[in-house]
Amino acid sequence: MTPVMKDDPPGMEPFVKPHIVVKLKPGWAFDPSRRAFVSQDGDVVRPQRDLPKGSRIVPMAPKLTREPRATLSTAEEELSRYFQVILPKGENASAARDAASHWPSTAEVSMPPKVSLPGVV
Amino acid sequence: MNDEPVITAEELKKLSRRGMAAFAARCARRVQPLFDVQERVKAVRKAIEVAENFAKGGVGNPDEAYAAAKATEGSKGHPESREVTSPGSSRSISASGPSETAEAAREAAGYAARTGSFYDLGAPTYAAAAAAAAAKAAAAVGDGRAATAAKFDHEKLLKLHHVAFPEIGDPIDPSESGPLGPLWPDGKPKWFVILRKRPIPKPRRSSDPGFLVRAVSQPDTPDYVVVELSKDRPLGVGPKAFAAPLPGTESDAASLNKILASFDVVTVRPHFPAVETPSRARPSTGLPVMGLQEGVVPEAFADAFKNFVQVIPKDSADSQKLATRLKKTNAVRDAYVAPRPVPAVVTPLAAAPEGKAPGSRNFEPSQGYLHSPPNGIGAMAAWTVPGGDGKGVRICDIEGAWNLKHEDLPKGIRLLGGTMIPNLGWRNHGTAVLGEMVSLPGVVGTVGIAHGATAVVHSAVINGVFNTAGAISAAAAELSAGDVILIELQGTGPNGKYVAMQYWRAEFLAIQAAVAKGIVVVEAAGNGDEDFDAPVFQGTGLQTDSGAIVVGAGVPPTNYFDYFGFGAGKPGYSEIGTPRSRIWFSNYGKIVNVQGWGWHVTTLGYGDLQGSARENVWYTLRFSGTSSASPIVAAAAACIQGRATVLKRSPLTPSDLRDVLIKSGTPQEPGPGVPLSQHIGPLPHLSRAFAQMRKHTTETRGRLS
Repeated sequence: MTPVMKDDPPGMEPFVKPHIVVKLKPGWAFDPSRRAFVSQDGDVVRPQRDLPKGSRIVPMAPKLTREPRATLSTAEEELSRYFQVILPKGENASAARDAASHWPSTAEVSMPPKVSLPGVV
Repeated sequence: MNDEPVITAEELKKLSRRGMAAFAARCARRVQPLFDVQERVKAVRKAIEVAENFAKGGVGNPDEAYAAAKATEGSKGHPESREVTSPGSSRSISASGPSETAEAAREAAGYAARTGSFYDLGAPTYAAAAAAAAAKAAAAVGDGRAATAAKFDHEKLLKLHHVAFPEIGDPIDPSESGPLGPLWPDGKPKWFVILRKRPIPKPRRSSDPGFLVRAVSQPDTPDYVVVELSKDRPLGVGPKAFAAPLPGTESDAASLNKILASFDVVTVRPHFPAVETPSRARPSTGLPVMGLQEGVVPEAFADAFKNFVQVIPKDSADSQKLATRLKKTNAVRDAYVAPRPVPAVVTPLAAAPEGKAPGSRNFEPSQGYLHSPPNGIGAMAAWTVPGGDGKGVRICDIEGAWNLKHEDLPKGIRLLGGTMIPNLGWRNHGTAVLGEMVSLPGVVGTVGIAHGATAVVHSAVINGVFNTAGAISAAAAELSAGDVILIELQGTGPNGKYVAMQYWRAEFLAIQAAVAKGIVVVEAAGNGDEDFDAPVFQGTGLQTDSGAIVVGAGVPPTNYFDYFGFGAGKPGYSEIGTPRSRIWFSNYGKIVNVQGWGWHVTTLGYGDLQGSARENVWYTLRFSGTSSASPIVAAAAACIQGRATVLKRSPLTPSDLRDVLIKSGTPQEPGPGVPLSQHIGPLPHLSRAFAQMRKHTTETRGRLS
């Protein structure tokens, strides 16, 4: 169980770290040990070169990236190609989006949805 | 002085609710010194503080806000003029009396207080009114800078706040030491400096002691009988007898009058004030119409209340006998001696008192959504059959935070993953959602629709950012076929308005993947008033079936407890629209499958129904939006799955379950401005769903064989 971040100040500030969503082309994967996108043909993209120091790349559905491709449904296979590039606070997500759009591994890149609660109170 | 608004409500809607309260509070603060009626100075100060507290992150108790606004009004007094001569100037600055300066200053404070309620959808109007009143007050002392300062605040707030009404938004300090800076950006006016330092004059002594609260004693009033006439037997009332306004009612009137003749009756009159309701024409008989004050009681109630009559005997001792005899007649549905009321003391700062913890009060009667269709979903009937309470089904709520220690939640609700957001608004929301679904049966608080189900939760915040797709995927990995995922989130779409999360491809895929595993996914449509069938959404997840059950917000039926119970005087259901029609803010379209109650749902959290220093005993009467609608559907789905597992030893597929919900539901209704073409689908009807499910199962077996 992930602990509650008790030390964070109230409000949404801790949760609005700038980030972008990157979808990889089919045949590409993220190799966390090399911190690089690698293709089935052996091509390598090192995204950290284009990103601010302290940036992180995380799969949106990590469990799926660990499963054998053959066991995934069509939707799961596509979902496993989605990654979040999380930038340190204060960094410009638009710049990261522009950089990511030039990576050979990138199929799509977008800003994340601005999420809120559908409650009217 | 012109009556042009300083800032319109539309412009103010670009601010968050807290931003709006900060704006209104500062408007009122600028002219606060101009209010000088000593007995209400504290009330005015308190009213402004209510708005400030909400702006700064307070709960925004609506009863407190309402009480604070009302308290500024007091009795219609005559504020004294405050005359000030500026040092070094011969000019006299005068607050010219109740009709101008002081009254306008008071109004500004009153309107500001109303923005301090977390639920009030009228906040933009109140904030605009506060600005206008403050400008009027300042203008009366020859100062036009209040309007300029208000506009300055508005611009600054727009830069500071990134969410718009009706979002609550982040806390903001409205004081001069906060980010908005000085109240008067161009320097304090002299009158402001002088009046703020000068003591408020003592009120003149008057022979009228005013309103004093003394010990409560029973007034010397007679007992009387309340008679509820049968609906199908309309009768009129005369000063001492019943009358027959329509042909065929003469015998009813005669039988009642015969009973009255046996007693010394002094008065027969309507039980409610004789004022016409808007759509009820005065009958040609000229008899009094037993309606209610326009705007006070919804028409549906006026209809019912017109049948109530007071019969007052000269001797109070006759009341019981009179009631007993009247009750025996066919023309009377009920008759009883009127109860002697005692004052309901309202604690000014806590209109929602805490119950005797841990045995807090029972709020189940106000959970109209549990009741029989067409008003509710028939949950109470569903619980009488095995599995009908959702037993054996897991429901995972995906959002941001919950108070898992609430007294009315089952112990051990597990956080499957993600990080809880340490924010009261998010925590109240999650707690309210769980309350609708799984709050514990018993005498405390509320009871959940699927209280037999097992709730788990997953935060959409992963790695410090929102990852709703990841949360859905992770939850699906923990759940099994037949279980339910509820997505209690929305996102800002291409028009800048809220849309369902499946608009985004990753979220869409995560839903598809979960559904493919047999997991039922229920998703809030969102509160953007968006037409999902519009061209702008072509090719997106809003025009493609993800397999989820997408839920719109429907108008609930009129609810006795909403209007006449706690929070009386606040907007009731009848002011929202026709029951089961789309509520104006709900998104709609072909992919929106079913609806739930989208207004004033009684559940856990927030504290407007029962407050306390401890969140664990908070309850609300006013949880609203597609947020309140979706748990009703998710829990209904769990009840159906629980029942299906008992009946056919396996749950329904998500697709079959959705079919059953749609086909068995109580249909959507059209309303003014919300035609059926704005599709949100029917309200679940559990007993019909159970029957439909059996039929569905039989048909499926037939096809397979």
